[in-house]
Amino acid sequence: MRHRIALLVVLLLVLVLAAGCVGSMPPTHHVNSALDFLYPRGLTAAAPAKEVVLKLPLRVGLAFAPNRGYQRDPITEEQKQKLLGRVAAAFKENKAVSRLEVVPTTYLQPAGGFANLDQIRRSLGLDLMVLVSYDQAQFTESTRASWTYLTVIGPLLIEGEKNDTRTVMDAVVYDINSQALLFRAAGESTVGGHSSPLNMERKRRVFAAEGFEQATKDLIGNLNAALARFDEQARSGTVQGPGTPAIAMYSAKGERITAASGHLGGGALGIPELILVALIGISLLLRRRAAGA
Amino acid sequence: MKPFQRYFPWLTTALAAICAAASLVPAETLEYDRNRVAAGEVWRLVSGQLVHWTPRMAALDLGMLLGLGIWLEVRGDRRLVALTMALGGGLTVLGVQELSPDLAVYRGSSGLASALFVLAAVRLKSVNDPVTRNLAITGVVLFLTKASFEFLAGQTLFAGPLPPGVHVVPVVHLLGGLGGLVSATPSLSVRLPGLRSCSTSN
Repeated sequence: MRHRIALLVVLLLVLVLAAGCVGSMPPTHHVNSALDFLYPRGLTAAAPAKEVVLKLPLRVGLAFAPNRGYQRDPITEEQKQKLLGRVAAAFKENKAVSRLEVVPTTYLQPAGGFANLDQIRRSLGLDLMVLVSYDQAQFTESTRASWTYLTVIGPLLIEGEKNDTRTVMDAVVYDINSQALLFRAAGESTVGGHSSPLNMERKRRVFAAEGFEQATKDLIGNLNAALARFDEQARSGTVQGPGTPAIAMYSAKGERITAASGHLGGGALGIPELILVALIGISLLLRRRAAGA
Repeated sequence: MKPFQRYFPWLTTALAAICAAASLVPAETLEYDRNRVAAGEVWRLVSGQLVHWTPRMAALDLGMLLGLGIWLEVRGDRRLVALTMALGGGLTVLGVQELSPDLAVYRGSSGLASALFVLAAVRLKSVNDPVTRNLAITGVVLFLTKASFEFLAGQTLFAGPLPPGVHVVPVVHLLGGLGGLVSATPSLSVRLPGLRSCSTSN
């Protein structure tokens, strides 16, 4: 009897220790910043931006800002290129943009600054550069279901780990020649989900990628709105209002574009009109069926 | 002659073919451009209503235009459709060229679609079913109220996404809707030969 009790105690101890092996992971935080890349010596050491001169249509490059040092990315280079491709596709309809080039991250050196951007401008023939930064934090904590890890199959089957992935993506658009920030926009997402201790790493990678996907979607909408605001503002002669660099935009024919140059308009019906037509159509259809019955 | 042959929607089919052909050339060659119209390219007043800024915008505008056009023609209202399109298109030109002096470039067929929407709804006013009739009248009232508010307030309600810098032009919807209303009035209808009265069997 004494031996049995001792065996039970040892077994419980082993299970508790084993459960400790599959405990929660510490939070992870991945950050990269366009400002770190552009101003490696700090913003105070930066030269003031010159007057901006833009000749439409523009050639625009898109890239993720390079990481600080050798920090590991939460997503692969291929995934980054795909996300940038989606951002580029959202701007293909814009008349002010003639070409959008997704620039591989390898073209940008950490702390490369405007000298690096100037090299890219010369080699790829770009006017503007869109630099995308991100800040992603992942938190994992055990839920009440984690007591099942004390059993042998618990860690295999029970998803007792709760994951939260919060992602913020920020895009800054710079005129390379004048080194002026034209406009910026951000997109964010929160992705939640559960995982078992044994597939935690894989699930965190999946959640990280999903977080970037959703934040990119948000970013595209906000970037479009920011571009529209910039277009309005730039016509009045300054990049972002009084105190910011002066800007002059010219059409392909060389004519200066100003507030008096006119707006672009569209005759676009929306969802309310579609709903009205659908309701009337459904009503007619029901009436016809009732008459036929 | 079989009913289908008699009421085949030739007009709407022709319009669909023209829109399809327009989509094959760059939109810049057909869009309304105030400077180019002033330079003599007057066809842009009409061709600008056949091209769109985005595929979504084209799907909504043309989907409604073609759907309503086919329905009206199949039920025998071809002449009214022709009149409404002419009126809607003409009023869109008025709205873009004369009433929106700060508008430099315009694309879209919502003026025509608005006109057909109001025409279709007004043509339903004499159906037996009170639900459909009330829904149609409410639809016209809501549509014209929304367009009037957008025109007067200078801001759009529930507008879908458009490319940066492109704004919806509410005056086009308002004028198009009024065009549909005018072409559907009985006083105008009786002067048109071959017009069928609204069938209650539909």
